[in-house]
Amino acid sequence: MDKIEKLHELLEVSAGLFPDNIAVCYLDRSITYHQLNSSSNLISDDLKAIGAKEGSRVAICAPKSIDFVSSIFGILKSGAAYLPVDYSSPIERNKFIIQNGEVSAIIISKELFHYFESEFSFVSDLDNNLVIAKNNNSLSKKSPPDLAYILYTSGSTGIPKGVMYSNSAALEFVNWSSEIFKPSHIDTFSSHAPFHFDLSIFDLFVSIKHGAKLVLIKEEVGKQPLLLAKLIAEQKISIWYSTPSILNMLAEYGKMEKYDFGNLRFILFAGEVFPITQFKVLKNKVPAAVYYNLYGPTETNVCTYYRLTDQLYTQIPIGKVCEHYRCLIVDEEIFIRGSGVMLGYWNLPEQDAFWKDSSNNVWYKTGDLVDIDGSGNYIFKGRRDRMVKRNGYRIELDEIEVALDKHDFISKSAVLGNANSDGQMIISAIILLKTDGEKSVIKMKEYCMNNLPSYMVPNDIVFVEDLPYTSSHKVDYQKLKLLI
Amino acid sequence: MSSNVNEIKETVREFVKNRFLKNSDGLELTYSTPLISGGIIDSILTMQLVVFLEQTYSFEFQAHEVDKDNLDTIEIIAAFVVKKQNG
Repeated sequence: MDKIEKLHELLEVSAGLFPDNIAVCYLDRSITYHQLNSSSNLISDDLKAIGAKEGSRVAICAPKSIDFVSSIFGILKSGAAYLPVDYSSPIERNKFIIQNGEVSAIIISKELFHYFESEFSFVSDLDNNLVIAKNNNSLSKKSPPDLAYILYTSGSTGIPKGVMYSNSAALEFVNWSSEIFKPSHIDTFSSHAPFHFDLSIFDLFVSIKHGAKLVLIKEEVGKQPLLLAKLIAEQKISIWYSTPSILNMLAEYGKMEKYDFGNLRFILFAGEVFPITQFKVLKNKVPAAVYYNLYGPTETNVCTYYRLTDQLYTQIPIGKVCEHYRCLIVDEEIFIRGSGVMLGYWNLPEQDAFWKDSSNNVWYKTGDLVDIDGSGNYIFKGRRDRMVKRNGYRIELDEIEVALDKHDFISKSAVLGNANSDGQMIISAIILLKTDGEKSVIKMKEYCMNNLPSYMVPNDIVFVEDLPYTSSHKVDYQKLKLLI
Repeated sequence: MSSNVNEIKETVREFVKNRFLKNSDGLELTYSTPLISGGIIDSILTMQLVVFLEQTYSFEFQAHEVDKDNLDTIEIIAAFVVKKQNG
């Protein structure tokens, strides 16, 4: 077999080997490999006709569906990169991302299309309420060579930033996953993470590479443990991948004893620390599964991994570096280099993300602080900056402050993140109101819901009369922590 | 034992106020304040509310019943509890 160089070739190979296998299923619909390959070819033809090609980008903004998956492969086949947008985020944020991405076309839910009608014109309908639309403006900015996708994450300036990934870097991760987990066409993968979140790269491309079945999980079901437990059992999921928060919720509230999880071979988790007491609850409910802790920022995807054993832990290690990476610890911070690292940030300077050593090797600076245990495994210790993880999502606390400070009643806000005794990240917004500002927690939360993605909405809102400042006139977060 | 709808509303309001709005006096929480769509409770807090309702009113939620349609306001929750108790 020729070497695969592009992500969409994974589908083409599997469609040849397993044409009648179910590739993707969602609710009561499913699609075979042959059908997925054909439908993505049609989408690719539509996109090429309106200018999508190598060097351009196409955004997708819609809830999960089979057509979303066809669209991803359609975009990749056209030569363009896909840019998935969280349809449930506030529309202003999404407008910014779509504009910032300078996309030549969008594939978008019909009910959202009217927000973009001034910039994009309707081209054609896809099934399941999706519309393909073409950008009216002429665009000149070319993507770097081999770009496959751009995933936007929280930015500390208040503006989301796009992590650019090439086909070859994504394939390094996919191939590494094949080596470690050795999946096959009889496996059933979960697709729990939304497609704008980097956990989805594993779900989509590793399952398709092996001719396996991918079960898409509806967003509402994904955060409702009773329905989720039922779905995992009924769909006979064999390879599960999600954040620890979801697994914890499943174990605690999912009434798992009602079902048989005998098909679950692997339970993989990533995105945040899984507190050991909560991990044990899950392990007791699904004792036969093999558990892996996968670690890596969006900029590198998984870069260290750890297979759990029966030993006693105080904290689950993030393990050792993946075979396609090298790592270096500088002042406790973990630096990564290798063939799987991102190309850079879209339309932004590198923001000191990289560091060049004396041999001219370029390292990505993760900002994560680690320790090393007696067996050479890394242990996550915390962050160098003000980024936190909540339900696996990374959040720049400063992005929340920027949004709050735009509120008419707010003089200045300060946002803190602290893990509680269950390991859950609690975000507190401390607010200094203007003199006539209304002190309403409920209205402030509503404002946040309308102006931030829901995972960034603070848990607690605290009104104060004064904020502590350091001698350099910056908010004194250390002092603030003691006040609340 | 089935409970009076007004008693249920007050009990649920106290629970939501004390558990989920601890840093405010909670006075602004009304029977029609949107809890899930208003960002007051996330998915974990929703499950804590479900466990509270199951234990307090001795019934069990079916998997599909844990839903915004049955839980978004105190008014809606009380009506759902009454329906479950009578059903």
